[in-house]
Amino acid sequence: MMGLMWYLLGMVTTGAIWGYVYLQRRYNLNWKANLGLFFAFAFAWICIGWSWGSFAEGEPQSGAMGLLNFGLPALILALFTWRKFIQPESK
Amino acid sequence: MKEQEKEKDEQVIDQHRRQLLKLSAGTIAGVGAVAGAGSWIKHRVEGVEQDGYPVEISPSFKRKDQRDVLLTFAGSKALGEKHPERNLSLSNDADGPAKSGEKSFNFQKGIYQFATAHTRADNNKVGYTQLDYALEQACWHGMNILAPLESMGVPNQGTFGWDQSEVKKEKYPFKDSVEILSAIKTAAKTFGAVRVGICKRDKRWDYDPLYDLTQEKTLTWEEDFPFEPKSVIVMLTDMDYDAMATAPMIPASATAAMGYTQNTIQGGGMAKFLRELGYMAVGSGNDLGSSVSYAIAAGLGEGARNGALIAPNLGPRVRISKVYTNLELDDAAYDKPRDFGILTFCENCKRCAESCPGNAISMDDKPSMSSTFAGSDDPDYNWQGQPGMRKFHNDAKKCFKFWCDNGGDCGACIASCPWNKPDFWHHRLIDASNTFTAGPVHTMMKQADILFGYGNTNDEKAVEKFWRSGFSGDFT
Repeated sequence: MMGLMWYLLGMVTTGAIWGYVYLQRRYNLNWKANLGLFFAFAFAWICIGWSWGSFAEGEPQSGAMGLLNFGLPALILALFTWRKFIQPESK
Repeated sequence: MKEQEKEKDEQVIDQHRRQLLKLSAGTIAGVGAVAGAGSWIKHRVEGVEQDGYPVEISPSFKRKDQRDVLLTFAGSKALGEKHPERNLSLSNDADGPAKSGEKSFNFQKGIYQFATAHTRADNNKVGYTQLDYALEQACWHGMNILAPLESMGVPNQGTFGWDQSEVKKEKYPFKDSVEILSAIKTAAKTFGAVRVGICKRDKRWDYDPLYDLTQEKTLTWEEDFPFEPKSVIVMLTDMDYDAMATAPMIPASATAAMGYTQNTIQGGGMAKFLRELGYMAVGSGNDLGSSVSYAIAAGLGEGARNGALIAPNLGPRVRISKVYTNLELDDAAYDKPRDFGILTFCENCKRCAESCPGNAISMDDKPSMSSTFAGSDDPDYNWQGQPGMRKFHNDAKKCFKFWCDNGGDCGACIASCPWNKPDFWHHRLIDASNTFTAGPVHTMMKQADILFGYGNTNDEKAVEKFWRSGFSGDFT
């Protein structure tokens, strides 16, 4: 169960690196965009790891709190970074 | 035209080189920062070695007379008759000292009530059914055969026997202390211990005199114990997380009982191993001395607010066995006490004290040199206290009274502790952060622990979950 999680997180990380390379080619990413993307990715990564781990250990409340506390900020930060710092900087 | 194109190409290449350089520098700086922070956190998580014993001990500190150890007193008819004032001091109706007109708590009757609780199992009461008690009794069974009454502090029992007649005459020719250390630690792993440490024998942590309640007689280290111990090997065994989560209900008592059974196997096994190697050795559980003090000295954890040992990654969900031996190591080979940042966390947390159904755990902000609970200045009431050590002094009598009322040995302070977590990566992340953060962050972490649903006690769903835990997940 946890082995599968680490495998998926590896895939997510690889996908994120590809996505980042694409964004860098397509847009002028300033330091604010880079920072926003980094933290959005970090929150999303922790969200998956925390929630998956919590459900696996049989603590659904912790899993739900993980989705709320890490997943929601990840979404908000990604959206904010996209709208404010990435979209206006298209090449 | 060609030259212009060439110049343009070179400019683009230069720009790419600059970008690559910037990216490389950024990556190196990032990796360096992460590696530096990582190694510092690792250093904190593994515990910072301390030069001396990490707990302040007063010059007036006295060794504990085993007749003042609560379980020894409770199990002894003779001590009950010798100290009738002790059986009049604790209120049976309310917390703390008995006031005039209040019925007092009798420790000898209490332990009888505790020991026979399984005969009053109630299949309509979740966590106290015949099923729960059957498991508890089965878990005690091993200890009852291998070292009976070890949990009550009775010395010289079964695998913890004092007989040294089988010690091999020829000592195994170890090359050096490192080889001895490695052999002992590997043996401990083989016996099923989850942690092991070795420290010098320290008389301060040994009961003096010892007391055998089955024979109602005192024993001395000098005349009765078979040799003069030089070192003490301390081993930890862990208790089941799901079972402990049911505290104070009976499955929690069952896993504690299994911890005692494991102690008799591990402590007894290690003593036998040393005797086969030509060294004198005696295994020990709750007898002979303070297991928590020795575990701290052996660098296995820190003494916590609840009076138990908190070991990194396991929290207080451990039982301790120890082995006294005349084997000696080079000074440098002994394990050193370590600071894991646990007691600092305890100062800000208080979750165990808030969860304690017997209100036995100190709510003080800081550890003190003597008891501060109600009645602590009355020697007839505070007979089991041991002043002269800076720690959180708890009222063990109230804890024991709850055991007797409950019919099982509780464990609420273990289940509720934020350090008590199963082995999942995110808990190790939080444990790591707790070792170097302080004050308000610790309080916040404790609140987060509650919000995330950990550390509940009296949780009937936990009993249901426990009884399914062997039939799901990786286990099956």
